[in-house]
Amino acid sequence: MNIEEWKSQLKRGSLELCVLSLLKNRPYYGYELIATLETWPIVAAKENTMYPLLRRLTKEQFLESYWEEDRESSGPRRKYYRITPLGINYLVEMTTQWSYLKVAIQEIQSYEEERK
Amino acid sequence: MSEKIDKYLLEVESNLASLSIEEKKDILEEIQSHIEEAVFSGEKEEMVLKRLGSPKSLANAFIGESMVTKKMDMKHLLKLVSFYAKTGFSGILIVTFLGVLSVSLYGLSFMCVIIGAVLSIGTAFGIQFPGGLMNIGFWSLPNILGLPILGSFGIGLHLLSKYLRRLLQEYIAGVAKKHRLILEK
Repeated sequence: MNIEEWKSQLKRGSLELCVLSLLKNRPYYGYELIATLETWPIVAAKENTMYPLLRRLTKEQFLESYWEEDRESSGPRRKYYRITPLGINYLVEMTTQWSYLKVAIQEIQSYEEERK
Repeated sequence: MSEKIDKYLLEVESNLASLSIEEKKDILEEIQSHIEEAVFSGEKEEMVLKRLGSPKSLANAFIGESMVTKKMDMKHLLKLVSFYAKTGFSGILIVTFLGVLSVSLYGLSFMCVIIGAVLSIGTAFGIQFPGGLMNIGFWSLPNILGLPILGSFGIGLHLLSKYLRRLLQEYIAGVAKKHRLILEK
C-alpha cells in the first residue's frame, strides 16, 4: 500500500467529523465547505466526495438542507446545510471517539515494553 | 449558462438513471449551483468541470453513496420479506392470469375475424359450410352474416385483451413503485 492510498483512507474516515465540526458553528453551502477544507490539504475533499457525503448525512438526518431565499446580491442560488440536534449528538460522540484515538496513538507511539 | 455546462449536466443526468426523479433533480440542481458558484467566484469553467470529474464518475459517486445509505435494519428486512411474500403470491396469480388471458384473447380476436371472413366470403361464392353459424331457437343465423357478427365479436375480444394488458401494466408499475419506495426508505 502506498502513502497516497493510506492518506485517502484517513481522509475518508475523518471527513464526516470535519464537516460536522464546521457546521456546528453555522450553516455552510457546499462550495464553501470544499473551499474552507482546502485550508488543510490532509482533509481537503473533492466535489465528488463532498456532495454525496452531504446527501448521505442529510438522509441520515444529521443535516438539513435549504435553498437560500432570494439573495440580495446577484449570484447563483445557494443550497445551505445546517446541523440538526441529531447531528450534534453524533458529532459529540465522534469527537469523544476521536480523542480516544488520538490518545491511544500517542501512547502507542511512545510505548516501551518493560523488559526484565 | 454555457453549452458545455448544459452538456455536462445532461450527461450526469443520463448516468443517474437508476435514481428516483426527485433525487435526480435534487442532485442536478446542486451540481448546477456548485458550477455557477465556482464560475461566479472567478474560476474557469473548464477547470470547474475538470475538478468535478467525468459525468459518469460523478454520477457513480452519488449512486454509490445512496446505496451505502440503505441500511438493512430488522424493520426494513421484515418489510422487504412481507413485500416479496405478498407480491410473490399475488404476482404469480395475477400476472399469469392476466397475461395468459390477454394473450389468448388477442389471438382469439384475430381468429374470429378470419373465420367470419371465410364464412361470409365463402357463402357469397356458394360454398356450403357444415353446421350453422349460430342457432337461436329454431332460427339459425345465415352464414353470410359471419363477417359482421364474428368481426364485431373479434373487436370486442381485442378491446378486452387490450384492457387486460393495461391492467397488468398498471399492476406491474404499482409493484415496481412499491418496491422502490421500500428500497429507498
